Amino acid sequence: MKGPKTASRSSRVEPQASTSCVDLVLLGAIRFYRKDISPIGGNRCGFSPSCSAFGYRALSDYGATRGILMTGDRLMRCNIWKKPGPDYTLLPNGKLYDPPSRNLPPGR
Amino acid sequence: MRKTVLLLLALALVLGRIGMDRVQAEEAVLLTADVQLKIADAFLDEAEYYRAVTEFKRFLILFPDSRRADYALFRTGMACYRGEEYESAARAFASVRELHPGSVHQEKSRYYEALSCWKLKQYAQAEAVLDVLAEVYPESEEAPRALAASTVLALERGRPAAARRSLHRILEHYPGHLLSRRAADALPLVDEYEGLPSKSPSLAGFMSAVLPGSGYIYARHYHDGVTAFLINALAISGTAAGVHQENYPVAGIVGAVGLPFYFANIYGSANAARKWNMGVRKVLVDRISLVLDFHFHP
Repeated sequence: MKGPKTASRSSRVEPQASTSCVDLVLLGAIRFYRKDISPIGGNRCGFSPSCSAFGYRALSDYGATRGILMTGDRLMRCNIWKKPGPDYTLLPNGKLYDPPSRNLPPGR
Repeated sequence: MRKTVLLLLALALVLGRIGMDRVQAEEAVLLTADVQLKIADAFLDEAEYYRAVTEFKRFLILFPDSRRADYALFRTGMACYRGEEYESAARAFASVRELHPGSVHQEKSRYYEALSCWKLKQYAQAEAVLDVLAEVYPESEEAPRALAASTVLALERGRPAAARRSLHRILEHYPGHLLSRRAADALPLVDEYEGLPSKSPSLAGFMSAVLPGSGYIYARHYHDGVTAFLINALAISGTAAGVHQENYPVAGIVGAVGLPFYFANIYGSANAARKWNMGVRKVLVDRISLVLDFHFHP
């Protein structure tokens, strides 16, 4: 809508409150990767959100168990053959849109 | 003499003031309800949705007892809807329904309230609003459209029987209507929907548990299947080699890294089957929407 925007969830990863110790360790590892390792190679992931952002959001939104499963699945899907289609929408920046919400188990 | 000069001066001042007032009155615009609505409508027509909402709200504040308050509320809803602020849109349309039961904008408000709820994924509420619209205002122009929308919504929710019921209602109640012909064309497609092929998520998950990646291939995600197979094969063979060479720390580390991928491959396969089913359904639902000329654009 033209005019002041209502707050929307951006693709940027923001730290969120998490109670589980496993969550904190995993989220910390992803934060470390995003801050210190990922910038070395640049923005290479063909998905949006990127795999690390996806993992962070999946872990913080759906907990450690489901977050690990969703992130593992995403890492396996992030291969050289991925292309736009019914599963992924092509964004103007050339990335394929694949948020965690599209990868929830049946019935969610 | 002095008195006369003063009198003439005073007269000139008074006459001058009256003249000024006249000029100002000609240039000034009195903010009437009409003017305020015109401003708001102009913003809406120019797709300045946020400003349009502000002006319609200003109208409602300045002229709360106006007989066009229902129109202002309805147009507020339309501005929000077109600006993709569906929550605010649904609220505005619901206000028309609740505060102005006799309004001429009732039918359209209900229709767009249902579409707003639909966009907000409040499917049950959307279905209920469409149902009431078709039931309570059968003569309105929106009633057959509401039934067409119900058909598409029912299919999106995987309920072909409800979709068929809606189409039959169009055929029965609106025989001469353009949508009736479209409904007749859509009926065979709904039959086709019921016979659509589907992949079982459970079977896909089971297959990937037995042979990593095979569930993806079953769900026609061939490349993901190959990747899942290779990653899991590497992890499993690495762990086995570590155990075989009695190098248990390496076996433990490789196994610990590989295990999440193994379970993720089961989870992902089930999801791939679900996505395949959804993709097949979506293609047909899009075709039915096209036949029924259903779309979200106002």
